[in-house]
Amino acid sequence: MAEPAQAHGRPTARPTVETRAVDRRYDSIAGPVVALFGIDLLAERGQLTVIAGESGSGKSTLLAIVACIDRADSGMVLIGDVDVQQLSRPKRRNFRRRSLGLVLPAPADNLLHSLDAAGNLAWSARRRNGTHLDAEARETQLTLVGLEGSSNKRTGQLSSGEQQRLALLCALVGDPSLVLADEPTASLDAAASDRVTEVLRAAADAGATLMVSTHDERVIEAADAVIRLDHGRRIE
Amino acid sequence: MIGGMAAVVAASALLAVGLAGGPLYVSSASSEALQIAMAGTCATDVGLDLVVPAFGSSSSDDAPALSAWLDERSVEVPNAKAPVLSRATWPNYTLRGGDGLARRMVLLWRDGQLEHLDIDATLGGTIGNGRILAADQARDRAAIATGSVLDISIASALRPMPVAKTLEVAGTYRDIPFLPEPSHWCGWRASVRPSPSGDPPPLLMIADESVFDALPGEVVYTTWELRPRSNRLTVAEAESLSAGYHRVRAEFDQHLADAIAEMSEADQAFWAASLPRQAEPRIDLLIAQSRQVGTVVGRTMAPVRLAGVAADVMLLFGAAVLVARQRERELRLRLLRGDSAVMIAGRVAIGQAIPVALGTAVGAAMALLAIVTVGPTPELESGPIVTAGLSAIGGALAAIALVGGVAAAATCRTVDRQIRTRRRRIPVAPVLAGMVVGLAVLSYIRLDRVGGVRLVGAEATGGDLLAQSFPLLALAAPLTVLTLPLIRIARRSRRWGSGLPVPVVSGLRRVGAEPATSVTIAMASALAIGAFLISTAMTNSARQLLAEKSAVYLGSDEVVTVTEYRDLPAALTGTVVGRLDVRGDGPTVEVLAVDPATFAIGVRWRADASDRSLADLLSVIADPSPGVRLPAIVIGLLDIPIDGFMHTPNRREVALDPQATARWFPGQHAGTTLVIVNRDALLATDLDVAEQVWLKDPPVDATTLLADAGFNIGAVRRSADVFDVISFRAVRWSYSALTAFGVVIAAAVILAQLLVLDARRRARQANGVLSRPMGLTTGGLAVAVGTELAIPLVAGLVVGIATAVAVLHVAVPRLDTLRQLQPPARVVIDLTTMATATGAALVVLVLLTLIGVVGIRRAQPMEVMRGG
Repeated sequence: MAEPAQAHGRPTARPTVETRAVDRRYDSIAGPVVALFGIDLLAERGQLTVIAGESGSGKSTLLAIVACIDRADSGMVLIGDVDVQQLSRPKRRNFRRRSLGLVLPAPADNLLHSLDAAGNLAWSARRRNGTHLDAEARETQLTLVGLEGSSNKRTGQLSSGEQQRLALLCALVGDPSLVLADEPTASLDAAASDRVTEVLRAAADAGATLMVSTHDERVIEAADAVIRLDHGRRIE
Repeated sequence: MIGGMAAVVAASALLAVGLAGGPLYVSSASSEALQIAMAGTCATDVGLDLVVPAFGSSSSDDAPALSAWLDERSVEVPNAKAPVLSRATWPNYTLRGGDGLARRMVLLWRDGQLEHLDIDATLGGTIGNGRILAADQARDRAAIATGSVLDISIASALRPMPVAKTLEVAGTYRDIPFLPEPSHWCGWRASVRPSPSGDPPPLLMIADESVFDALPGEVVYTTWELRPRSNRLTVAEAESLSAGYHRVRAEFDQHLADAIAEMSEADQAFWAASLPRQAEPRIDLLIAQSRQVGTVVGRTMAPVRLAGVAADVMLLFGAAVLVARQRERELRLRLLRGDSAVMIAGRVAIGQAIPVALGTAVGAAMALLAIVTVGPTPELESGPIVTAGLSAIGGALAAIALVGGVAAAATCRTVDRQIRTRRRRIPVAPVLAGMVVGLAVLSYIRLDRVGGVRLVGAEATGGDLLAQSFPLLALAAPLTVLTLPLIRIARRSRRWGSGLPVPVVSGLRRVGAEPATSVTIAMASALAIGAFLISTAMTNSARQLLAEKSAVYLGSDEVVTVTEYRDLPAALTGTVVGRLDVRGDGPTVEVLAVDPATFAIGVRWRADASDRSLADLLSVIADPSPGVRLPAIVIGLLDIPIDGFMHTPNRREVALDPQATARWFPGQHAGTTLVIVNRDALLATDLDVAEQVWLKDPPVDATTLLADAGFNIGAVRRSADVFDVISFRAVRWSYSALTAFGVVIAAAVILAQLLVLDARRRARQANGVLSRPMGLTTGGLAVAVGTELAIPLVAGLVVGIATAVAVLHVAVPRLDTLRQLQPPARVVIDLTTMATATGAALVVLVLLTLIGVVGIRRAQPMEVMRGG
């Protein structure tokens, strides 16, 4: 399954992701909650790095900070040699658009329900770098994640597993520098989870830098590196 | 269930109502004022009435030619009827076979005259060749009847001898009534009405045109008259009519000047000195007054419009948040994929453009329809219609931008927020409440100092923005102050009611679960019912105030000055009153001589006039022959010395003996002292008094009935004419705008309730599905939903009504338009209106409950449990 990442565009520089002493606290009615504390990590380029931990351990918060959809209270988040913490909002937005593929836990949250499967794929490619995918290219892409013949299906007509594979495909299209997936198998059954894991693994094998938060042992087993969190602290 | 799009449609519609309704309402109020004024004014007075000179030796030479010239010009005057020509002369006549005395008469020909006269059928309608029509009254006044021959003579400045003519009376016409005044003859009222002192006018004889053709021009008075096509003109139409008048008049003046310039020097000098002075069209004054009404109404409703638009904007804000929530997944995904806030806003705005446009169109149409059907007048000016349209379009564009912006902001809050150093939060609610209370206090001070809209003569003035804001601010202030404590109480209510039935507790808990929303709805309900109540009560109070002050000023509903009192016709209810001014060592005092036996049935009495009843007061002066000193009741400035001999203007003496006092009395005028005595007792002193008949609830033809009963009628005043109606309309329509505000807020409350139902739908459906196996019936569900909706609504109604009543008692006396006149303004609350509003609220509650119950019961359990 190396095809998805290679299929489009020229290879781009795969950055490493490094965090240094990242802290994040939230205010709640009960008082401040420490979501992350002093997190240091390094996700190598071309590897599938898994952030593992129980619910509430800070996995999603860490991914959100790396994905430039949240900011750490302190610390550095280096993607390549750029500290994205210091970037302005427009630059972070531009980074998300051009260089980041993101998969959210709920399959439905990753897709536009007004479009069919091929439409979602085309929209994602266009948003990434203006690439226009013709019908044949779209069908080829969908086939790579086992969605052949689903081009014209509305997202509501796809199962949760199919939706999540389509979401992964959309995240990978346009050859982003970094792909982040937050609990991509959380709402899937075992079979669907396996297929998603295969896609993730294939993308990493193809050279993509992937960071995946999960507590799914199947994904953890497929990882090149595992970073474990517990109550906001790195324990492994 | 209502969706975000429906909420946007409704909020846009309400915004359009507020924006488009304002200019239409002001225009309609102005035009109504004009229409009322025109209906109460003689059409000749609001027309162009030009005196046409006769340059030649015979009127047939020039006046008709000039009239024809004017006729051609009149075609270009918009909103005018076809011109009416009148020709008249004022000869002396002697009746052949009569007493030989010469008397004055009016000889008149007027376009269309036979259609507007009730002519004796025996005549057959043939006048001409020296045959004329006489008024019926000519028989009694001058023994002139059909067949009478009159020798007339008309003095001419250009001839040594008067112009003589013989006329025969060919028939009679029924006397032209002077009240109500027939429109066709109103320009000739001086020839129809008695003088204020009761002297009859010269007899009016109707001739045909040939009589005037045979007279020399200098003795014929020709007028060319252009009248409005209707009394129901808009102010803009009246302005174009007035412009036409002025154009025709200017051209006519120039035409006459050119004609005179071609005359000999002697004639030029004569005509330069002799050209008649043309009257100014009174329509300009009415237009100015009507525009003033518009200004006052506009100024008064400005705070209401501002508050209404602010409420609409808040509603749009809520609708936009709902849209954002409904499209949350999509918008967040776009944001995560790198769309900017502007792009998100643009996308939402484009998506909501059609709902906003639809809502705006509906709202603007509703505003137009409301003004046309229940507004001041359905005749609207084109200018304000365009302004209303542009305002609505501007509002729609702003609404589209607002919805897009708010939805984008709501979405962006969840992604890539800037970390800010924690700052001390400004307590928004107390600050807002403080501002509103501060403004209410300021507006009270302002109102107490300058008053509200004031009626000064024919003009409504005042309408200070801050002062007029008082009712609204005074209503809003306690509501904003109450909001925070009520939220705390609502929050605690979650612990209450454990002993109550389960469905009721369920509803109560939902109220407590979202205390801010519940209290906001309660306060909005209070604002709606309060505004509605204040508006109707102030309008009713203003109407009552006008009626009471008119009745006190006049004494009764209609006052007719008569030269000699006779028994009243059976169809009339009233009393006779004599008036006389007397003076002692101080200022002049007015003596009102009343008939104690009939006074009570002829006047409007108020319980607060005196601590004693009217009958008790009148018993003080009941003796018709008390002796030298007349027992008297004193009203007004009690420090004026009246205890002793006083003098009438012609130095006759009258001795008064004050026996009682009262705060006010029918017939009292501002700043005067009134002394009430027995009429018979006063007449026994042989003093001359002005006699008046005071009529209560008179029919429209009361004066005709009095005339038929032999009364010699002088001045007539009706309570409706005491104060300028136009100004009163300004007051009335100023307050009525609050009703519209109340309705808009009520609509907002309903919408907010629907939004709350929609927002809590998922949780409600889940509860419904879970509770069904536990025995919650549909009835129980209805009780739960009804309780949840009723608590804020009923609380709002109670708070709103209580606040409005308190505000009214402070505001009404201070908004008295005629503070200088008795009696003081008082609050008039129409219980029927209150009951109707409360009933409407209950109907809305039932409907909302039904919607809520159906929404829950229609849910599919499996879908709900899957979170679909």
